[in-house]
Amino acid sequence: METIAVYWEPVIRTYGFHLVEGQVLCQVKLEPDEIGAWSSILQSMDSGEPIFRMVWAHADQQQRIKFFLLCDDEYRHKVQICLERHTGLKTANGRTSTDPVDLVYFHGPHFGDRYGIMDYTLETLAQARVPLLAAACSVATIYLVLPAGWGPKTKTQLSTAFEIPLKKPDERTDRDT
Amino acid sequence: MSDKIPINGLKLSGQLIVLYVDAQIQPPPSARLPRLCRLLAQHQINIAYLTTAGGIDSQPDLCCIDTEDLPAAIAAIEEDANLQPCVRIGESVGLITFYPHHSSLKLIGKALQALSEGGIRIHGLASSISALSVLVDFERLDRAGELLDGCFQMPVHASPYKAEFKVRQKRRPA
Repeated sequence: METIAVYWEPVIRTYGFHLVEGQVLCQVKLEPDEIGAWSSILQSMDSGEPIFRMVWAHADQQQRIKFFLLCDDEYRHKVQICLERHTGLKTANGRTSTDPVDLVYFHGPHFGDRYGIMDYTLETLAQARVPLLAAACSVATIYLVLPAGWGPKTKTQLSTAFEIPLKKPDERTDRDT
Repeated sequence: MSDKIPINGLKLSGQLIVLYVDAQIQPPPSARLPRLCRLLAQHQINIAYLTTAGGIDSQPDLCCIDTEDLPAAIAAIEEDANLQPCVRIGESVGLITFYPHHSSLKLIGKALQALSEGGIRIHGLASSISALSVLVDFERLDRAGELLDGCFQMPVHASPYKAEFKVRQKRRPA
């Protein structure tokens, strides 16, 4: 049985843009047999606090994995200590960036099921000549990693390109500004 | 006391195909991925998962589309003389997504440990606002689901792991 629902929007809608500036970028290179050790390190780094803003990883054809993590600067020391303390990684190819990065992320209705969202996003960035360091599309979220200082302009540019539905007066709460 | 981390749900995707966009071949990173995204959008092909780090890393961009869309994607890419040399068709994969992640490194570590000890090859992973998705070989997707089900505490009435319906966007004919 096929069900067809009609949804039309003149401008792509999103639930709003989130900007986090001055993030620490942590990169770790892992050989295939180091994933177990790295998984133990990750578990040991947990202190109950919401440490990361974004994580992603990709493997090459030899199954070596590069793992990336963005966190607030207050967690930089914690991340660095754990990387230095654990010697389970043979290659010890872990480091945190000296240059901060900005993170802009947003999500919208069925972004993970609809074509053209990332195309529209990249076109918007290109028009503003925004340099993109990294990006990820996962489930309904799009993450954009940018050089420090580019976050506010990127957020502004995207806010003019996408539609952010406003809440009706009776739906607003005291937290809305 | 169980050391299982409670989560609210776990989902297994349908069959996907990886498209790798080479970082070493022209055009430059700033042009390759937008070109591929434009091509896929023009052919109404959804990108189910994507990671790129062209500004900080030399690894290929990783883009996943539905297996059903592969013939159309191949035909479109082969017609693009600039893009065709950069794109390599990769493995048949699937996404295993669990939520919420609570920005917890322990949760990621537990998932990676379970999957690596179970011999599951990890092609990639990425967080979203509330979930974490791991890209694995499609033929091992069910097994990956079993492994994560074993290390997380699922709610009593968890929703089915596999979607009972598929959402697909199509342009209305003119």
